[in-house]
Amino acid sequence: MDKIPLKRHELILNARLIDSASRDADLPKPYWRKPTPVAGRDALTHAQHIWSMASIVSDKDTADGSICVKWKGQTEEERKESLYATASCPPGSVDDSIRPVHVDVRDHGAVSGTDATNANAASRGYSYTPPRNANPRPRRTPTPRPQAATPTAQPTAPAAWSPRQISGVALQGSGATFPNPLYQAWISVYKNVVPGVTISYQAVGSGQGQRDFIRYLTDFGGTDSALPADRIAAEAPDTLHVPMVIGAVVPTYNLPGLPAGTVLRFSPETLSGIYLGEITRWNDPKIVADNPGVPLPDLAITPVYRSDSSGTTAIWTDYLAKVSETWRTRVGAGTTVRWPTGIGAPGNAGVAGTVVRTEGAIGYVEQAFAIGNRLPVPAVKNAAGNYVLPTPETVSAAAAGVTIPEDLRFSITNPQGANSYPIAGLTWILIRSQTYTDVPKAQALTDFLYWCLTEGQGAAVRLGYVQLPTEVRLKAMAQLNKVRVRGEQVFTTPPR
Amino acid sequence: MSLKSSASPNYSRRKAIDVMMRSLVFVATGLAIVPLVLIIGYVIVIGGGALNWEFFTDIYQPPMQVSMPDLGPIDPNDPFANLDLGSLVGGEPGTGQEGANDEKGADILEAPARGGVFHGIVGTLLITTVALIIATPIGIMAGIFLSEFPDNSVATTVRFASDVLSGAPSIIVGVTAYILIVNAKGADGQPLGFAGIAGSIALTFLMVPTITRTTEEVLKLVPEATREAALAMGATTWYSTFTVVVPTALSGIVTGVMLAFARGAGETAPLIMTVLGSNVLMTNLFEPMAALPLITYRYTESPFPSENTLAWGSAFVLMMLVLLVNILVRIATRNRLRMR
Amino acid sequence: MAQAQAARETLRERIAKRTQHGDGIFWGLTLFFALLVIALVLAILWVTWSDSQLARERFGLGFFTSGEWNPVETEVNPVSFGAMPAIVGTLISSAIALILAAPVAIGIGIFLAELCPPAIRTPLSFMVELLAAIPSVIYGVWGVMVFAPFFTQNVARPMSETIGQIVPWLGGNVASGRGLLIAGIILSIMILPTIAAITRDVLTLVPNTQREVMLALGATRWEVIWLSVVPYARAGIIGAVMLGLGRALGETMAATMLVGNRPQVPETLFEPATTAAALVASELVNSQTLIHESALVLIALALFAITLLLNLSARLLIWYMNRGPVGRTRA
Repeated sequence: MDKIPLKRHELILNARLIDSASRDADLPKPYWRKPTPVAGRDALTHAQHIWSMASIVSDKDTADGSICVKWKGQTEEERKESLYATASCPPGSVDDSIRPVHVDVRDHGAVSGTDATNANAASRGYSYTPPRNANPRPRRTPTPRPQAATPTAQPTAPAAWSPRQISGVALQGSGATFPNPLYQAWISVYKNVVPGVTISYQAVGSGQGQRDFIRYLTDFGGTDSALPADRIAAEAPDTLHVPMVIGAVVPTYNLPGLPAGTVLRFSPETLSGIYLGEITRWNDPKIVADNPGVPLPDLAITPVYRSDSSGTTAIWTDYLAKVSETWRTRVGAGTTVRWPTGIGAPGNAGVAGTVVRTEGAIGYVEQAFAIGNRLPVPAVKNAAGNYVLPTPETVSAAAAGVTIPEDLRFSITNPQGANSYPIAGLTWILIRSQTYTDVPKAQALTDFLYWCLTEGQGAAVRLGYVQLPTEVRLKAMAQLNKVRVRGEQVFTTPPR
Repeated sequence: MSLKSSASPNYSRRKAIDVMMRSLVFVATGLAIVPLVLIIGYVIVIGGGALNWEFFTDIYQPPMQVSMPDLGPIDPNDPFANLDLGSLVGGEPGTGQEGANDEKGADILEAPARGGVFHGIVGTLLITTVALIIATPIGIMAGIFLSEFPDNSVATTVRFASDVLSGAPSIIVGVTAYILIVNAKGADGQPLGFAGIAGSIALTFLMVPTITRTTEEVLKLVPEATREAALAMGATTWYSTFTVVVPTALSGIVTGVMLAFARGAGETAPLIMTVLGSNVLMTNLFEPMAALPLITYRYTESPFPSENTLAWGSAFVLMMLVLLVNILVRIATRNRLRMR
Repeated sequence: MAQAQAARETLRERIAKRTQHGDGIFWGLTLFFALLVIALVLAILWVTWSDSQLARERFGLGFFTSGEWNPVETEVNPVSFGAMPAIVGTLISSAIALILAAPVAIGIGIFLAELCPPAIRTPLSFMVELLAAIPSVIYGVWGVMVFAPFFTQNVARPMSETIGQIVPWLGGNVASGRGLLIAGIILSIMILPTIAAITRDVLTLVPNTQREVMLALGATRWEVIWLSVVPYARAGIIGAVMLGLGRALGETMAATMLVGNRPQVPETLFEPATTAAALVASELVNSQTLIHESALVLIALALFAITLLLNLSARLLIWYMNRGPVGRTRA
């Protein structure tokens, strides 16, 4: 098949994994994959793996405007075999000091980036942002960052912000299990950033998280289901919802006996039928129709749901209610519903664990829980009729085009886009805008949240979540400004 | 004349029933031992496998970690501009197209368990000890009352109340402590919140009956002669009780206290409602704390092997604690029991 | 000499003077702490009574017979609080536990009290009591990780495919590995030592005359036990069983982890369900509305009241047995 020309202005690649071991010259083979010739959309998803290992010579323009791409450790033959055309790299342009970058694969179309960087790029005749550079881990000595890639056209110098070094503060939070792996990872890293602040987040479910927060039992709450407006007004009028990250809810399953590498596809009818109890065996004609050519066994389906009050359930049932009229009238949506069939397990971890241990089970979990347990991540048919896998692109596409309300409480299930993943949702941290009484605590909390919204977003991607769209993120940061202790503001967003 | 001929006509049937039923009850006893061995065995084998130095000294480490070295200035417009994403110690967020053949996912599943339960050990010890400090005086004094003034309606009611408490569903105690302490509005209108001390008070409800009952029994076993001898010396009742009777029974009282400690350490339901749990080392009793039974409960269903291992390991520690206390108590009281 | 004696007397007088009021204080002090124990029980009752007031006023006794537990208002299902699923689940799982445990436990009690060689009696008793000492969360962990897969594969599935075809409540989908049957089995292991220990104790208290009479009549050993000793201790054994029932009713952690947490009345024993304790444990911290919390506290109150009554009756029976009318002939 024809090689896809790699035009700089056509591609923004998103690197998903950079492994320190891979930066060594003699890269062991399994750590990067050679693309197999595939067509169309699948090529793009493959590209994500491919490009993760790529070093892109970003600051050396080639004659025809294409990017010189060289794998770290790739031999000449392998480069020729690769799916994407690469211009021959200018001599001297490829050396070990070139770092891996992040680029987003798009369907030769949309381009993203912030206004400032887009303007920057446009001023140089390009219509997208320059690839981002990053430091490889072994290189601790600060090497001059390639600011040369964006020379004078940078509108403002990046603000130097680091969290205040507060000591002796303990922050308590409880709530959603959906983002728990990510929050724990953030907390674990933040311990080194601000050692004086101790943060403990207990994953007990969105329901308890909301409850503990409203009753002033915790300092912040985690929830994937936004508090309804009447509840806010009645019980906690000064609550702020700060979105942290987007996550995809995947209907993962345990189906032994499938050929290796096969991943199932589900349509909305199938999913609602399974959870309504209408589809009870894996070789039901509806599932077979979604997966032509896949030998499905005659095994009973055990749907698994959340036994606790859960925001993940809210996202899942919200989606089912939108795609199935029967579901909407019979069961409805919410953090707890009357499940027609199936078994309950506590927490995302419980559902994932039950699916792992039960043959023929299907359960809805946040993507990180499926990944972390080698559970399959199936493709789901979206409103446009395409089967999409939950990738940063498809999930970000779900969030694109949604009008964002001022209080940042909105749902992104079943969007219209062609490339959108249909079952995704935001997860919020709840904070108070007026009723904190302890200044250092409020400062520490807002600093931590800001750090998560900036530095932490990269970690989100690495762990299987999706970073917030820029607009949402900036609005989230603005929410932090509203936190006041006895009328005094405790946090100011650093100037742009 | 043989005995057989004088035996009743259905003797052989009766004999057969005799042998059968006696072996049945013998088997029944064996049946009870089987689950005991299985449970203890599994916990020792699987839980014991989780133990290492890190397990006892480290606190919770998340199963999926990202390390993020010093990054320098951050541009809020484009946070990825100067970002180094570090290296992922854990799984690769795959698209699943490789299915189970995802080497990075293998890192999580085969990586050794990370982190430990030091915070849980400290939490359990703190909460249970404080509960013991509150429960012991109550239990001992109530036990003394029951043994010294045994035949009145108050004593009967106290014994009954003690039985009710020891047989009460532990969730009830948790609910009570939750309503009384966690939810109660403090001076500034805000509730006390989840706190280790609330868990201690909940555990007190469950520990007092054990101590009361054991103290009463042990004090009753002190020979009357000892009491009379003290009284003959001119000591008053209370003086003789505290200086003669109680010290004689002291070892028994201590065993009662130890049993109460073992009981309290193993309770989970009261802690769910009162203590919330924590992932960091917290020694302030007025804040949420970690506890071993909570760790066991929360991480049992977890699919992350590192969390699962923590659950088994803390189950092992709990079980060893409870077993050891019970065995010690048994050894200490074997003489007393033989007297019965 | 006389001086030393006088000195000792003064000492005695001095002690007596200093401690003469002590007895009253002693009595008062110990009485205070004893009353404190009663106060603990009253505190539980008072707290649960007052916090369940909302639910009591709104639902009344019908709360316990209505079958819909739907705590969260959705467009589709109105909010309704009915404790029937919790009650049915509790009763069935406890019944299963009793049916399985009582015969075995009484057998163990008989063995330990009557038939066991003295050398191994103490170690065996100890091992049986050790079962009671194991924390219930460990039963839960073991049940979830070890017993449930084994049970589902080797017992539930064959049972459902054979007997389940005839008896509907033993059939159905067994894949969940949770349900009233498996919870009942684990509960039976937990209440075994309670019943066995008390049975052993009451059997030991049976006077030897009972045994001697039967032996003189030429009874076999089993007949001695079954026809004379056990009936004498009948009240105590029933009391033991009732205490075991009380423990099964109130068991929280193992039940929560094994029963499936589905607040609906199940149709088979292999379907997930709920028990009162499991419902309260899993939902109280999640409850969003005051009425939800109040309803759960009402369930907790009912549970406590039932275990209280059971305890009362059991203790009365055992007391009756201990003090039992002397001289009445028992066959």
